[in-house]
Amino acid sequence: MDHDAVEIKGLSKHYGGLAALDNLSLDVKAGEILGYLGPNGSGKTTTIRLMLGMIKPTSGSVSIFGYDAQTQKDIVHTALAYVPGEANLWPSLTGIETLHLLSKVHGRVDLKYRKKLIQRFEFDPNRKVRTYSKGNKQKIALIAALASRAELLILDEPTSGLDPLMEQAFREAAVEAKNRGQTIFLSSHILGEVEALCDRIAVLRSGKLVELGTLEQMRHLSSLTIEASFKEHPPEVKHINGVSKVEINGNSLVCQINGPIDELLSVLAKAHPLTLISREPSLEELFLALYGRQTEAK
Amino acid sequence: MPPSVAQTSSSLKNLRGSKSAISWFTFRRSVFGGLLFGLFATAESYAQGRGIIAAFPNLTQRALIIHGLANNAALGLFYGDKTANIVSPSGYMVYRIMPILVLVAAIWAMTITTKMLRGQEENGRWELLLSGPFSSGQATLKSVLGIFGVFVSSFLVFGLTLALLSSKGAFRLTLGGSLYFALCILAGGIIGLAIGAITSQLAATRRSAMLYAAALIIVFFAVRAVANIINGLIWLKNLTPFGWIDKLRPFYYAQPIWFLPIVLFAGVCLVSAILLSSKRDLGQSLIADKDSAKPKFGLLNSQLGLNFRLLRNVLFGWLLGGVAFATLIASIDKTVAKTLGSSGSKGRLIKTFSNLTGNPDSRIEIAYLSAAGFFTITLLLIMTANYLSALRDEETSGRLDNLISGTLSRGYWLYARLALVLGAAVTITFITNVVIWALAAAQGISVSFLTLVLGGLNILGPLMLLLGIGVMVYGLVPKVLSIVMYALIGWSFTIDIISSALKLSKGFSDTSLLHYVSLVPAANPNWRTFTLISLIGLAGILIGAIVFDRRDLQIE
Repeated sequence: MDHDAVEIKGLSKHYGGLAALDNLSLDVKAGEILGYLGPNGSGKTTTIRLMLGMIKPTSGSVSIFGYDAQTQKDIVHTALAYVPGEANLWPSLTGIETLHLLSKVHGRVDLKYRKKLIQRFEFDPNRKVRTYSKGNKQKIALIAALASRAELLILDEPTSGLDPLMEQAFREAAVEAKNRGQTIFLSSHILGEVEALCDRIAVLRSGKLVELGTLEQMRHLSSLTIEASFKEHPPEVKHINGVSKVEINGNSLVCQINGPIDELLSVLAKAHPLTLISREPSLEELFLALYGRQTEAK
Repeated sequence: MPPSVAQTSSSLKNLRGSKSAISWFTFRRSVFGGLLFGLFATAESYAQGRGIIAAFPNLTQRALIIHGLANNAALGLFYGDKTANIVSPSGYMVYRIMPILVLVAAIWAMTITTKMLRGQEENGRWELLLSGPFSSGQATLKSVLGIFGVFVSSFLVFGLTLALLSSKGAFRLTLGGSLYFALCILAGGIIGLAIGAITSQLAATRRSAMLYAAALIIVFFAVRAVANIINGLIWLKNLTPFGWIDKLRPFYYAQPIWFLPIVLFAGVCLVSAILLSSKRDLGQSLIADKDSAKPKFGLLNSQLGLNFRLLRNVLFGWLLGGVAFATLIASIDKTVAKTLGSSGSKGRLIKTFSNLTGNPDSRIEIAYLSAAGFFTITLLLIMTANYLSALRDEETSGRLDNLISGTLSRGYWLYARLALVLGAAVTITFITNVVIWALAAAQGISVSFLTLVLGGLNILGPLMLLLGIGVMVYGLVPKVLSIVMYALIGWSFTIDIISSALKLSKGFSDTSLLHYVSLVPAANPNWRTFTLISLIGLAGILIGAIVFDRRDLQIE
């Protein structure tokens, strides 16, 4: 395709004096899964509602597959499917009737795949919506979106309310969608989900994009954890540049290091370690480190 | 006491204090409607009392016209106790307006009670309340107390403003009399509250709870009406709460003893509701509702179909209401004409009906038949206001997001909704007019089918105007949509009632939606006015739709 799946340029949304979103620029390549992270109120849902043309930007633009999300909604919406954070549906319809209605709304449906998804999500479609739990209502929105086989899936915390087994079912479906060439914009609070699925991650805070990149590119945000054990008392490492959070427990040492690691390795090697483990930060550690840093900066 | 224990004890005290939170929450959610009802009741009551003096300043004149009305048994359907001193302005006010206001109070109270009880349980908010230091029974009791607080506010506004308005001039009421009258009207509210509370425990959904409650209210009101109409069955009044309220008789041999069965009835219903809510599981109901159904996809292929599927029961209810009103009026037309025609005040009655229809007709049965159109437009205006308010609910609940994130445009969604309400209005008008024509023909009253059925459609003009205003408000300031809609309807009725008794300036009368209705067959439809206000309404719809398409969607 000639265009990125999503191209956001200088997007801002202000409510009075409050900037819900501030000069956001971001692109999502066709066929990739972008994880969109941020604490509550950071502007994730605002971004999604702007992408869907449900609210108007104060400034900036969003284009989806090259079409303006505000002025060419009729074209844009034929190429996407959306799962809201909380599925509010029509209580008097049954699950299967709602799926039928949403397939008409999306304009297309892969019925065979929908049947497969119903089985995979262990969903009983014959009950009335008002009798479903939050998770089951969420399953309806998910099945409808996935079964549409839309080029772009915009998912706003799609697994909220789902149990771990169903989360796993969602991950399988998301991988299948990616393998088919579909693009996924995944807003989520579940860091394990983002870590497992996403090609790139965007982190939002107070309406501003604070990080964007692959997980590997973002590892620099947090320290490398080093664990070593020795025959005797561990060597002194506190003086080494970049070393922090040193914990000595008997003959074991745990510390973290930011920046070049050669000096620390040299000191540890001279003390003849019995074991030496280096561990990269998980997304959760990155996320916490990032927010910790931002809070300190504030 | 160790400090930590003292802190815990203090926190628990605060927690106990927070038990009034549910009552306050309920009160705050409903008090605005209560104050509006109080003001509406004042305006309607004062207009009746003041109007009869203005129209018939002489006691002899009043006696003639009023006894003419009172001798007609059929009018007992909606009018009050004819044994009251209806020649006096206060007695006439009670006779004309009390049953209707009591009925409105009961329906209003039932609506807010089912909303705050079963409605909150249905949308999951009840769970949040019960996660506090409350049992289900206590939460029900606190909600009921909150609604009761709304009644007290409404009662004070109504009683005091009526006393204030009638403290000077020809129409005078005492403070005690006004407060007693307000209490009688609010007794209807207490009945509605009691019925709503019990059906909220019986039904699984708010809609079902409202249907059961509405059915009970209609039955109670119908029993009262039958007792009023048929002489030998007056004892039936002892069996219905609306009959007990009639017997309270404000301003004329008041019988406050009849508050006793009202309080007993309400007490039994409320205690039962509280006991039932404390004994049953959350989300359960005494009358089980079907949890699953055979899928029917027929109407789910388009927005219009979806709207019809979701609203067909409600629309059918409005249609039944319209047909019932039309049947009621048309079936007693000949009797009414005979009774009024022989009352010796025929000329004056024709004039009275002429004020209503806007065009005098020499045949009293034709003039009376035209009053059915007034009830139809009333019904349609309320239906439209209700329907437009549901637009905002669809948006703020997030259900609209599901639709417009697909290939459906906002404009199409809105126009499909409007097309359905207009289609429903045309259908209801058409069917009610056909019923009126058929019943009139059965009684040997000659009315042109075309005049009645096609001419009757002119009442859709004010409806278009209301739709236009509603859609504009929805586009510009959606938050105030419901208030504006109901305020406009309330205003129109108040102006209409006042203008039937007092001479209002044309500019003032023009602000009423009802001013643009030609009640056929007595009056010829004014197609010019119809076209003009329909076009204004259409312009409002178009402007509102454009603004709606450009504004931010709102979610709760």
